Amino acid sequence: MSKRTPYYFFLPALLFLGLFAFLPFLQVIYFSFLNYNIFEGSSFVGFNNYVKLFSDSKFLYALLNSVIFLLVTPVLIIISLMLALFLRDTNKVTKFFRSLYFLPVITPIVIAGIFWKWIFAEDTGILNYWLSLVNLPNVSWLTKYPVNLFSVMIVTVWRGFGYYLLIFIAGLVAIPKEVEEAAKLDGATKFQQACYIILPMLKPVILLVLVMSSSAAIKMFTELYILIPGTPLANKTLVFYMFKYAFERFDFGYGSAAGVIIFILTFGFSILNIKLMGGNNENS
Amino acid sequence: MKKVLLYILPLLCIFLSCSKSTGKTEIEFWTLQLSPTFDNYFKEIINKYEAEHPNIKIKWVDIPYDAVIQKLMSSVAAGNPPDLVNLSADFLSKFSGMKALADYKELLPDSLLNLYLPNAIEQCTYNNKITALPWYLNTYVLFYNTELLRQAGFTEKDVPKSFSQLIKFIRLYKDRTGKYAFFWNIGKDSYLPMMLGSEGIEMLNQSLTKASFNSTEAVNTIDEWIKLYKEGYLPKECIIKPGSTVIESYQAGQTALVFTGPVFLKRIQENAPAVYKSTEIKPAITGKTGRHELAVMCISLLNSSTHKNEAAEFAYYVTNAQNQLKFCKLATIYPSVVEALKNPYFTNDDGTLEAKARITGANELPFAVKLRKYLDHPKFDLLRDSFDESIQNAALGKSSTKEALDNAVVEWNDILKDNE
Repeated sequence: MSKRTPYYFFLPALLFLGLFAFLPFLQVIYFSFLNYNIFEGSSFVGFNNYVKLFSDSKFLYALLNSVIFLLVTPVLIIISLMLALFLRDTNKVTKFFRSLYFLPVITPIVIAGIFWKWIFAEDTGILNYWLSLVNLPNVSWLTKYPVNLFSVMIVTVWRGFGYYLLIFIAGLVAIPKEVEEAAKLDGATKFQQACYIILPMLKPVILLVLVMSSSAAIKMFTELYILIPGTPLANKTLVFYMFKYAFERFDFGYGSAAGVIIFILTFGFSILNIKLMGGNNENS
Repeated sequence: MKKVLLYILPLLCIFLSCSKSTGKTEIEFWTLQLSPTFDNYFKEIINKYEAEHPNIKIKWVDIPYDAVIQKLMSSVAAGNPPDLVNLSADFLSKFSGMKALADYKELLPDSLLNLYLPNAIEQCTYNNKITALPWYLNTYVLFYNTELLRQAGFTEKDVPKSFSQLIKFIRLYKDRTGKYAFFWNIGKDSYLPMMLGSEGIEMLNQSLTKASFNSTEAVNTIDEWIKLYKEGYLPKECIIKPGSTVIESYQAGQTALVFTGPVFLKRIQENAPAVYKSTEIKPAITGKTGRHELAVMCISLLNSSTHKNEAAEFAYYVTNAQNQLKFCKLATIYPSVVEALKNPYFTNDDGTLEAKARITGANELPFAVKLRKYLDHPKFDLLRDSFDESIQNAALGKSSTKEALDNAVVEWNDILKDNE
């Protein structure tokens, strides 16, 4: 077997990614410079689509909403990390709760969306019913901006924390018990152990979750599509904006330009996360 | 080498067997969400057509309603679009603007085109080209829940006939019962343009170059509905729910009236038998003009088709009086051919609710028109979204009705200018 042989095993995956990820990606960049008409042919318009994007207040709102939506990332990390610390040991109780918290992850979003819509329903929903029991005014969970965006964020956190919880548990299991026992013998409290032993050793996993959850937050679409499809475009995020133009209005050139901006944002944010967390440091 | 051939030959055989030509002209025909309910009907008419035309092979493909545009676009991009596609007439201006649709005037004689209802064929005509053959039609009727009306102290006489009566009824019903009388999408997929059309208030000029729905009359008429919403007489989510949800609260027994197509009667019967039992029917609510909306499903022929004559002939066959009548007997829809609409099926009352719905709708059909003129513009979706958002802004108190409509008119004029 020559030295090159193992690299041949990359070929199927590379071919697949090339065809279904890299090639479409390059095409989207190309389309973003076109006035794309599928029937009549396209024309090159330079940076017009990008200029139009940044002069559209709805796009700027969508950009802002996507940035606001990134708030789900720290919330997801805090909730799932805290729960992971509680559910770290394996016994019957923790197994039950791990399964319970994972249920939202495997619940189809369409079904989850329907029951969250019932919960948020403004006239007949359970949340407003509870508020009325304590004489509080009804909240426009779905109709009013930015409350409706926060409602969607609640659903995203509900759907996502079980997934990141499992990743954190896997990371925690990999931390050698001896290190914690040594700290314990030296008199470290539980809090000190968590701050000075567990969290630093969990840094690569936190980084992974940070990158994954933030890019998922920027790319979030389905929850919006199911929960508040009829609200104005200025209440939505970038991916919805792109979908609206590319697949509802068939302006593929303009939609592609929005797609390129989403890529830049996701890529830039991931790099920033890695830099901030010192992810390129060998020690981490 | 032998080994290579051993692998390649079977693949070659499979490929050749797949691409084996039958020597027939294949017409690909897409319908919208009609399978499996109407499988037998389509198989029957297609088999009959193929028997009468031995050189033609019909490939029938049924597409989910919501996916048709995406599928059509991707099939065009992939270079294998269908020859014929079933579209709602609402989409014709968009595809016509893209020069995607063939002109039936060049493919079928006037004697055949004159068989269709003039108001239906008008909805398929853009720039003097007949871009689709009208197929099955629908119009609006009013369903009301007699039991809920009785509980609220109303009788059949109180059921509103006009939009102004409807507004009064909505207020009175809620004041008496504390419940909503009516769900109507006024924000997303707003029905307000339809109402304006029926009231005789034009939203834009005839040449589709200037919007006018910020006139005092239009603002006052729309403001009546905004006030209803703000004062709690309409369900909160009626500004964001899409048009397809209009029937939901009625069949859940939460509202007393619903203004929709007779075709939805079957859905009420299946989903809410108790509500169905209490349901009665009245003609469509109208404005001052007495006009109501006509919904047209049609069959378009794509310009990319390489068998335009054969495809046009098949489209005519599907929409001819005999086949449409047969189809209408399977669902509460209406034919677009004058001869079929004259059939006693659309006039004889057998005492059932379905017959009443059918007759009520059929009586309205010849006079139904397109009330939302903006649908004639290729960028109707941008116009619709802009109007919808202005209503949402006004309803949520972000601006007054006048301000919201003024802003929308500016946006409309900008969009309309683009296409001048």
